[in-house]
Amino acid sequence: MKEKLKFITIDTSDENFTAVYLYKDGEIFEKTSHLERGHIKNLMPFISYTLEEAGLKISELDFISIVEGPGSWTGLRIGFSTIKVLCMVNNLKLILINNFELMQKYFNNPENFTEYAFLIKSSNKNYYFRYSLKGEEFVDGIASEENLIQKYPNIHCINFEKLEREKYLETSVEKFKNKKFSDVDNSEPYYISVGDLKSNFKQAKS
Amino acid sequence: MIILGIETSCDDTSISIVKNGNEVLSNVIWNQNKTHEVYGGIVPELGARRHLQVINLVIKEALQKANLDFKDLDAVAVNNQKGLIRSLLVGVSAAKAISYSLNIPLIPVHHIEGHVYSNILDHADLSFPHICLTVSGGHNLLILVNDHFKYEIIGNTLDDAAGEVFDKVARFLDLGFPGGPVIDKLSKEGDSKKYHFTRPMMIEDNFDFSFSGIKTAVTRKVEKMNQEEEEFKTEDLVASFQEAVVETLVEKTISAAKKHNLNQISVVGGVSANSRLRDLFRERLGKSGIKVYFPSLSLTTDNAAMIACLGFYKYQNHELGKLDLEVYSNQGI
Repeated sequence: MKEKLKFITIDTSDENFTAVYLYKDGEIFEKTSHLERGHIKNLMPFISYTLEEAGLKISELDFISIVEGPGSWTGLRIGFSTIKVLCMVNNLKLILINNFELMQKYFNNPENFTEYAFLIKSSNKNYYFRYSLKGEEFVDGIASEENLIQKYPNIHCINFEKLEREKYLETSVEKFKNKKFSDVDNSEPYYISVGDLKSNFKQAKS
Repeated sequence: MIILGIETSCDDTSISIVKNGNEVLSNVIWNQNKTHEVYGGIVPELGARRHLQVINLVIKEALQKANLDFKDLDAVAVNNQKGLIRSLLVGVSAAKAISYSLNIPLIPVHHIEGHVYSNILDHADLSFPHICLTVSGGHNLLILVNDHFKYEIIGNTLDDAAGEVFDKVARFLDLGFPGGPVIDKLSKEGDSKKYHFTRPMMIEDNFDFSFSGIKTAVTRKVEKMNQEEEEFKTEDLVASFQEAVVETLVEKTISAAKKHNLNQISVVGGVSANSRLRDLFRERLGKSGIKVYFPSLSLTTDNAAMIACLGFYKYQNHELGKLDLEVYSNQGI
């Protein structure tokens, strides 16, 4: 991939992994860390570091993209509050990337299951899931594995694995070309939770 | 020097712009009461979500009201040292993004210290040393303020803060949330001498507070009256409750001022908006020669003007933060 574009992609959806990737006309700069709950400490310095490495000012970027979730609520919120304000002050466009969207795109359904779900670990034995029947009818929600199997007895679960940085950048470029921008001021994480936060099984949207 | 202040410690998203530490150009407060009302208290996760939803809009509104642009800002001050972690993270992240984008200093400040400065911001004649009673739903302190950043905490609550007890009693009586303003209002229609609740720790020779006992006494009284089918007016009950809390605060603070030979009392924090508290302070101080200061109402609850004001003095003192600034839920001052 070699595009005449300059942008930053950040991922704070895993509570303990901060990633900042900077793309500059085909060159990639990155700064990542596995520090436990390290987003607040690391995110802004990493953005500053990669920009400096690339010799860019933040205002020279074409856009910023951010992983919107699902994932750690607090991690996502640190990412969003940083990026929303960076975009507002520097007048930059914003692109959101969904973890399930990446799974659909890059894992798809390797063994051709009729009924399957992508899973991303949440807290307390719960998983965020995207359920699909015959590759159609998608339902996103949060549930324990037990509850999920109870509801969909024939389900096959596919666990999320972190992708290489090129996938995040490639997806960002695609969305940029298709003008899939989000409203900076009103954007928020893809939390997957509705109504009472305490209830065990919920479906966010279908 | 123009400083943008950010305060997101609890359930108010506030952005303010203050010039030279004493001229408030704007002080925008987006209150979340409606979000939390149905729960009768603050739900931290919902609070943090709400902060993130509105943060850009509140920043824009503060700039607009001050008739300024981002490029006019000289520094950004943020509370990173006291409050709900998830809420603080939103404000601190926003502050860093502004500081980095505009290449201006980032000034971390303490929430409670901010409250102390709300009166310094509002009253040019309030000098050092003075005694400060800072009391809200989250804290209840008596502080000797000897000079800028020179504090001595001489009294604290051993259990609930006064504001917290107002909330709990209001919730018990089904009066809504937050409890302070509604109890203040109802009490005006009630007889505060109708019921007697013991003023806690009044005879003790220290300046600590304890309010959870009053809360229990109120609930017991109501349960007893219900059991005995005794009719009562809620107004009388809350007026009597309020009087007990307020009198404790007033008497302890005045005796602390006298003991330390200070003739200035500064009362700040959400509970300092209580009208009975204000009246009783003035009543009891009378011609004692001790002067009491209250902030204007918009500076009593959590607000970013006090954060920006304190930021100004911290900046003069070269106390700056870096981009790796972290948050603390309960740092000492």
